[in-house]
Amino acid sequence: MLQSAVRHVTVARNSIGFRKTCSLPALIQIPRILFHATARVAHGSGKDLKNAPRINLHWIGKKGEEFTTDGIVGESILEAAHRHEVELEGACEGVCACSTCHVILEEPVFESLEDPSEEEEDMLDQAFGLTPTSRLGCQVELSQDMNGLKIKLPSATRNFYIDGHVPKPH
Amino acid sequence: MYTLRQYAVRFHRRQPVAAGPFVEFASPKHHVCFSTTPLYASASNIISRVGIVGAGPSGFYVAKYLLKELGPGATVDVMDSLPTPFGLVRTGVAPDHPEVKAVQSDFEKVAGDPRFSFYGNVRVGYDVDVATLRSLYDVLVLAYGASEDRTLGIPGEDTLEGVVSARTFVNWYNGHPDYAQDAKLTGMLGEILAQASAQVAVLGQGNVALDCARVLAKRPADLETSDICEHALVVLRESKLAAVSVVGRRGHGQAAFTIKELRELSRIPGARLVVPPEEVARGLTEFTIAELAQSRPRKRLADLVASLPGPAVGGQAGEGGERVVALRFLLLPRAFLPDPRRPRRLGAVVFERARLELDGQGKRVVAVGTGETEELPCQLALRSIGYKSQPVDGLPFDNKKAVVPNRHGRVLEAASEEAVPVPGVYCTGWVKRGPSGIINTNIYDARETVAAIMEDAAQGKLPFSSSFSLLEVLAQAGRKKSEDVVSWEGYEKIDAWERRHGAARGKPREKVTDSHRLLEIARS
Repeated sequence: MLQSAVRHVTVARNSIGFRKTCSLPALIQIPRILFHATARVAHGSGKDLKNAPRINLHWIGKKGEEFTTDGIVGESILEAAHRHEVELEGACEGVCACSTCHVILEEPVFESLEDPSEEEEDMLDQAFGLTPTSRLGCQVELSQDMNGLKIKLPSATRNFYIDGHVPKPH
Repeated sequence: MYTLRQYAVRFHRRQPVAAGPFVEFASPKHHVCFSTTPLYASASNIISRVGIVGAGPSGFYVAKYLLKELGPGATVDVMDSLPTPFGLVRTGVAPDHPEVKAVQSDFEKVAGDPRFSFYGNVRVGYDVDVATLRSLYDVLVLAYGASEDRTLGIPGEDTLEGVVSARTFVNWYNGHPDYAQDAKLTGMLGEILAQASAQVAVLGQGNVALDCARVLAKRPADLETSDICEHALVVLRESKLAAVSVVGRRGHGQAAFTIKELRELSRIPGARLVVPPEEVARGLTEFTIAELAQSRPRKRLADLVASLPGPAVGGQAGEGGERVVALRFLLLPRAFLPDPRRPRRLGAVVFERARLELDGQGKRVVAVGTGETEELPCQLALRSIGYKSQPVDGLPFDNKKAVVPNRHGRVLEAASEEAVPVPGVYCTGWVKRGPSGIINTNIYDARETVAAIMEDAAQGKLPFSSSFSLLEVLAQAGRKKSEDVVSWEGYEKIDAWERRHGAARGKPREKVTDSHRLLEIARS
């Protein structure tokens, strides 16, 4: 089978070090771990974040898995998530018109932030698994004092997995 | 799916130089070797061919998450009955909500995946049947939405001119080929709205109802820079509309619209949103108050409704040509009455006033008639009480719920608890859960269906597929010539054409509403 054959290619080129030059178009989708994410231009913000200081972000994923990425001071939580391919949607492309970038913060941080706007509150009302410390990722800008920020992604399965069904990890 | 040879030739412009357990071919930059025998099998490389029926948000989200799981040799074919993709994002989402349509660029990225193909203008059940599709794909996902309307079943609904479904109206201003090309419809809407002090009743209180009210109430100048169709703008420019009533059966605590849409309606320049205070008061029953306390979104929404001004004393018409949008509650539609001067046309809707009660189980708030009636004069009534899905020949259907019977997205042989899944057939979106929810809801829905697919693949529950292509099969059935099937490249030509012609008018796009023209542009 070709698919498995191609899998083999990934392995092969990994071991012989073709990471940079190998140009198999159909393969671009799989090797997320092989390609380093390149910094995405902050959507719509027009900010130059190249030389901005970096902080650490601690994520708690949809299945409870924890991981750490960096965050650039001045970008939004959504932008940081997309730079690191964290599973956070952004259907409206970060303009506070959907609730797909819903994240849950810890209470002290949530309290320290400026209150969400009316527009954000309205969109939060449509978010699944709304909590008292929910925010939209596109509306929270990272600042220097947020180093070590804990960001929890709401469980994606909350509304649909009923009667004890547990999705298999892939 | 490519054969090894095709793969090598296509992506490396090289012929394989040796055969055997390993095939090697040299390219100037690198040396690659393929194994011809599977090294291991995992769920992601068992699935090689996926077919998705419907290119709306639910179809695209399922494609998106499947592509993340599948191997590089898999293919995902997405077909749609229209020549254009995106379903309700194109023909449903209001023209003045471009931020909601931003999700299209996410879908365009999905379509950019080399494993993705679009087949526009392919009608399942007509051009190709389900049995054929099942033989073509190891995984067939139904994502064809809900193309039927729920009806009220009251006198005058089917006979009077001026009683129109909200779907018809929305599709008409959004350029769905089946409606936008309907000259009789355009003529009728134009004539009704151009009458002095025209009045419209929207029956139903979901976001679609608010979209209709907003598009009608807005000043045409405020719609001109949206992607609303030109034929609709022509009608709206001549509109002498005075009032739109958005009428619900139950109280403001049960309304289905969301707060963002209501707030927007309360802030339209040139229009005033009002609500009769006594209807708000009557909606605040003990159990509704308790329900509101349980739900932050409901509470905020109810508070916003309650904060709206009451209707102006001494009449419906607004001051200084202002259009009035009235939210009305606790009114059950009972009959559409003809206009005495033009008996074929709508003249009024008769409502029975309602009060709120708990149903037998004490769980659901229901509206119960009080015997008291009210006549609301109007020349146009838009029925916006929901959609329902249609069955597709060759697959089971739950007629009671109007969905495809399923368990977590696995299509079942019948609509019962014990029913077994139909191998290799899945569903997502409105055909799966019923016609409710916003675009975002499809994300969770698609993820669940994809999880079910991958689980079945890992357990070897998927059927084998043939190696024919959809185009070959369509040609064989003789229903559709391959040049009439719109590929993604074809759609990109349509997209470019529409953007170009929109730009000339200061709009994001000017939609082409004629199917033949769409096909012509796609072929150009």
